[in-house]
Amino acid sequence: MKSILLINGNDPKALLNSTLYGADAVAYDLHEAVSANDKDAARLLLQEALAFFDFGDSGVFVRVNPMSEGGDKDIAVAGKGKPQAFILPCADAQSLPQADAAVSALEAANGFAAGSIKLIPTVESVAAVENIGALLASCPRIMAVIFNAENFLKDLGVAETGDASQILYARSKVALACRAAGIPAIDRPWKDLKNRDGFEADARNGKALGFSGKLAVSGGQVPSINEIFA
Amino acid sequence: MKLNKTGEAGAAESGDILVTVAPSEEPGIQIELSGKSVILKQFGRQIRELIQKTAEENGLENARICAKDNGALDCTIKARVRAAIQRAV
Repeated sequence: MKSILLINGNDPKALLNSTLYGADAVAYDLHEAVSANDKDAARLLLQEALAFFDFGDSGVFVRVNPMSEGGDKDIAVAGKGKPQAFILPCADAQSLPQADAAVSALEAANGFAAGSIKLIPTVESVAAVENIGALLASCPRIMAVIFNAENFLKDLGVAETGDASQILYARSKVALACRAAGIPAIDRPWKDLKNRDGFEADARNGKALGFSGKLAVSGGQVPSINEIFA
Repeated sequence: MKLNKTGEAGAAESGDILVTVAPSEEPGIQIELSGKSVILKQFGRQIRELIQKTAEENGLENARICAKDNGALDCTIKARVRAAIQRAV
């Protein structure tokens, strides 16, 4: 899995076009892309849309809200559309078992095979990076891990300078732990869409450290990610 | 299902539909559909039927539904009607 494209989970037009960019997987976002007032409508839209569209060979994921902020509702409602996995933000030793239990309840309530829906934790805290080996070993549903450098640096209490050496240790630790666990590590998103050279250099850097792919925040990033991580 | 207030969901943007559900004194479900005339001429009847069916499946009895379509697919129409009903309860 090289590219995962983030798509606003409450934008029907974006949903319709989401598989046109050639991403290995699309991730419909209920977290940062959707305002608090529209979470309920977005959950229902994803439930209906996931059952309606033919996604072909593309992986279909839903990025839920943190478990402390309605992630359980996202899983219960949007999950009826049976995505292949849920991306869990702010994953840690507390939230991962909660998400696992919510997915188990979803599978049981809807007749989905037990263990058929996977989890992709986002590692974005100091504690999660420090304990990533234990985190990965704690849940058999984990099919990949995403590293979010921006929130990691916030949790570390330092300002982001733009120098990749700031996150070298954390990035390397995530890549190594995932390789040891036999699952793909997906590198941080690059949000500065105007800085194409920076984006591609960052993708190459991630690949050199052992990442399998990168999160795309725009369809235009997908071809480069696929090429660099090929 | 008894509605207590007006509920709205969706948006007046391309590919979406803005659905407003309100309580009604009249029996049954009254649907007011608007949108591009070329779409309504071709798909208006199907859109109305889908709104009616979705409303009934969600237990709606007496209500007024206003829908402003902007080229929404069936899955979007169903989702927005369901969300508007939930918000009106």
